[in-house]
Amino acid sequence: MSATDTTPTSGPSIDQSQADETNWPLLASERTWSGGQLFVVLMVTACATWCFIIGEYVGYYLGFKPGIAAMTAGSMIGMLLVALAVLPAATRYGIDSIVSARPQFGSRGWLITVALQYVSIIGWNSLLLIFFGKSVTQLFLVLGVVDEANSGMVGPIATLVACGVVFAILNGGVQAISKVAFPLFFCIIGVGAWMVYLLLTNEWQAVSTTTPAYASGDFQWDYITGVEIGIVSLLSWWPYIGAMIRVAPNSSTAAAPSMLGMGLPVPLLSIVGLAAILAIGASDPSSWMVALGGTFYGAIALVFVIAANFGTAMTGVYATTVGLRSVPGFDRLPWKALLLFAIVPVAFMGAVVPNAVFDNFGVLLAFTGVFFAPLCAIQIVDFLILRRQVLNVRALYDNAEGSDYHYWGGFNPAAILAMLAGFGTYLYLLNPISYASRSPYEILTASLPTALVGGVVYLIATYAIVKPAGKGGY
Amino acid sequence: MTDTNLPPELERRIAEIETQDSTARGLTGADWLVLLGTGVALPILVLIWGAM
Repeated sequence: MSATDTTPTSGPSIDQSQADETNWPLLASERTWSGGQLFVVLMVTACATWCFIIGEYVGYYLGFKPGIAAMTAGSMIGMLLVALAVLPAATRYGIDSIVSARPQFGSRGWLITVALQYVSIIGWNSLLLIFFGKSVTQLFLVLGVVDEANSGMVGPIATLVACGVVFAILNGGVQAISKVAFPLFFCIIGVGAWMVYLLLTNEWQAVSTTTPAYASGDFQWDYITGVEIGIVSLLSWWPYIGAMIRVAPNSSTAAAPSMLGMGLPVPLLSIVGLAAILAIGASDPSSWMVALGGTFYGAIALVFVIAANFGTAMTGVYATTVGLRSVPGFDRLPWKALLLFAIVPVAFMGAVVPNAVFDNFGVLLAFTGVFFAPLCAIQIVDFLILRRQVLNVRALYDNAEGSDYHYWGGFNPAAILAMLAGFGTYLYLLNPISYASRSPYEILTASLPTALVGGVVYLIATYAIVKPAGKGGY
Repeated sequence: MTDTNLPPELERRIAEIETQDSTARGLTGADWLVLLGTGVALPILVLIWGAM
């Protein structure tokens, strides 16, 4: 490879105000978010409709109290894996999740992580914006704006409008997210707490006595399955978190907001879905809030769902767009064009094939666990243990053959072996579609052994193959 | 061979960050306390509570 073969060489010239629209490292003067700002943005990102679905899935196996415990524990464990993988490098060097994975995957291998990020966030954003469209449809029905016979096109049109609004807001860069996040914060906290209160005070008897629909009869298995659902749900944050916390000045500013702002709100809001599936048999508030709280309260709940999904989708599109900046050729595109690459697939899915995404939430969860558990472990082992929290910043952007992170042809075999080992471990322990399991899943979950195996294989392969060859800049 | 032809703005950023990095710290003891407290201790306590 020639010295001129480098991804960012031909990148757009940028000024400081546009720095958050590139994947280049943010300088200390640009990383100005306080812990409070970060907490609010991360919380708004975390609180979305998927919380109701996560609660619903846990409610298939567990009752109210153990369900809350399993969701909370799993979510915080998953968040810890993501935080340890991304936070130290992102906050030290001002880089996003994708760039932080270059030292492990190589100067071409990181395309694997871009692909994972793209598929994951497109899937999640499609789900959210389709929910957005459905909620708008319900809201219009409740308010009498449309009738049942004419409501068919409202959802797809609302999804397209939402995509347009996201595009317009993100055209202002990451600072725009911060500005929109604060109003959404009060909406989400207030209405979310009120929904839990309303549900529990009206339906407590049913919530506390209903037997979960798919309980296996083995409490330990059900309990671990609840934990597993929590873990894989939060592993979804890997693609999102780097783009946000890189704006924090240091790890201390980002550690608590990451765990408490992005980790804890998910199980707390999932209580709505858990209680609703146990008491009413449906987790989506738009389907029960009108019956439970009347037209006025139902409309408020729908506005909440709409606002919550909007905030998360916006962050997801931003993270995807920054990630796409790393792809060769895409670095030359203007920010607006990159935004379109992130939004158009979501608009297509939402408007043309909404049910294909909506009916396959379980598959999306499985995808997350299978790939992101070993990915997190690889990053933790590499950055915290092997590199002792120090990177070669120049090599992050240098694709030439002799650079530290070029490895062999741009790929690090240790990372690929570790991903394959983790993939195999997960599928051995748990069929992510049918949830058929093998021991020791009922004790350890599937994600944690997957992460452990991925991390150990990466460590061994690095010592056996990479270091002796003088590759990797260790 | 390493690349010496990075864009000037990126070069400027790398140079500044390399200077900062010589004095920057990684995860601090307090960070580890927050991370392990909320990501390990809290889940253990919550799981015990949920199983009681």
